[in-house]
Amino acid sequence: MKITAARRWGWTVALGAAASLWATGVWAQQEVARLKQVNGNVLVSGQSGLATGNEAQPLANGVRIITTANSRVVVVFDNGCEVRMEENQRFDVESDKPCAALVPLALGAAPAVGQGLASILVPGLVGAASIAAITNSNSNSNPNPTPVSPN
Amino acid sequence: MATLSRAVLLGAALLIAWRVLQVNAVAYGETNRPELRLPTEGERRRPALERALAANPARVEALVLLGVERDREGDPKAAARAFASALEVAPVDRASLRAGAVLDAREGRVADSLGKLDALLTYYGDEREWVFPLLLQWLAVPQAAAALEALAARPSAWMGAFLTHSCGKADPTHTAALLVRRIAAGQARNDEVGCGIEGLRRGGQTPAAYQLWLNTLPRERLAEVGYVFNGSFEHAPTGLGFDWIADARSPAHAVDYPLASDAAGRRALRVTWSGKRVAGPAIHQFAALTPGRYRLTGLARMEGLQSVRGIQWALRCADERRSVLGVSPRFLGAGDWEPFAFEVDVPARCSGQVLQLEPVGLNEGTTFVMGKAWFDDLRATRTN
Repeated sequence: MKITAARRWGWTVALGAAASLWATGVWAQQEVARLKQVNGNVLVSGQSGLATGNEAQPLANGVRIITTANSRVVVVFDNGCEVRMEENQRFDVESDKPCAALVPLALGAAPAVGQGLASILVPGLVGAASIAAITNSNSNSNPNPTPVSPN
Repeated sequence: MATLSRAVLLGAALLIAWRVLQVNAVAYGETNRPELRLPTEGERRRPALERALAANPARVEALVLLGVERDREGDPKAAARAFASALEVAPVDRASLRAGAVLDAREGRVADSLGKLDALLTYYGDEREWVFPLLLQWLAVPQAAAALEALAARPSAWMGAFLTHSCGKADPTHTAALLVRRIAAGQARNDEVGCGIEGLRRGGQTPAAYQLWLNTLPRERLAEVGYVFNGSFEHAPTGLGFDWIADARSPAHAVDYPLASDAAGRRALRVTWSGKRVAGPAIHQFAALTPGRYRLTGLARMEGLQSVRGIQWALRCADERRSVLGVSPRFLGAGDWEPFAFEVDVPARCSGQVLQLEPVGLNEGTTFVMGKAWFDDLRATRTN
């Protein structure tokens, strides 16, 4: 009889705790990763904003990590995945993704282009005529069609 | 015998002096320079240039034109050598820099080309006319963008002007990397940074805009960056990025941050409405809240605030529709400091938001507001 009562009490406490965790969102904030090799200004999102991250700081799902200039950090997941963040990158902690999909986003990354480099670097002036054209092109302060040394 | 040797020495000295004058007149003179007469086209042009250079190897004009001829003949290496020789004689010669830069770019030597364009832009401001549009296109080429990025970290006479020029023309994600370098080097101006942040934000890239803005903050302020930034108004707002932006154009209201008694800190926000009709928010702040539920709290004190429906803080989605995510209780009348709070849900479709102090019914037209309102200790706390 005593055992049954204790069991009932145990279940009640467990369910109550679970309900409490669910209601407060603590379940969602279960730590799934940590910061390692924190170097420079590494910012971690919290309840009321971003704060400087510390070595071995635990991270929950949904947390955003931002590195500023000259800052670096490694995010180590409990499942063994490691994400190396360079300066000016951001990364959202998501433990349900495979390691290969955990990639930080860089600020201002230029897209790769498919065209030939020369045609982009000197648009419309790819051939040998390009040099002659640009050398002989007039500017407001250089009305002489022949290039002249200012020295 | 002595007279003869004196005469020989004098003759030699005169000869040297004449040669020095002749060479310098050619290389450095702006006037009385012997004209370089060349056949317009054809095979005789190159021998003529070579003769001119044999007479004066330091003749920059001839070196550049020889480079052009060699390039035309299909020998870009010889052309590059000629341009390099010209630049050795006259390191900031406009034509040599132009020709060398274009040849280097065409041959894929981006960093070398950029070095010459850098000198060209530094010494000849009017060259920006054709170089800036070229560099705008280079921003999209990773190899060239990396070279530009390296250049952006150094003091530059033209990089700021280039970034201002590229504002609204270039993809802001491309200029962001340059801005970050300039900010780190202490070279960036507020207008170029503001334009970069705005470009990213308006382009729907609020997280990137926020990240760029974070780089502008001094190290001590990065220790704690609230979801509502500077909600205590203890620091003078910069009006940049995700800091407070007061509307200084409207005569209907004035915004300041005076010392305040009984508030949360030393200073507080004070908005004074003059009684003119109000058409927009007095102050606003862009935010980059991730999707979720938040509780916004603060302190308010009204000082004879008259308006039909009052004023309110509203968190809106920073898109074209400015849809409301949540509003505070309405403020009206007079009273002591009182806390207030309201809940907002930020949906996934709304990556950027704006928190603004506005008259109730702003969307329905202009509103009469008169009096003062004080606010302090504004915060946003995530609740899920």
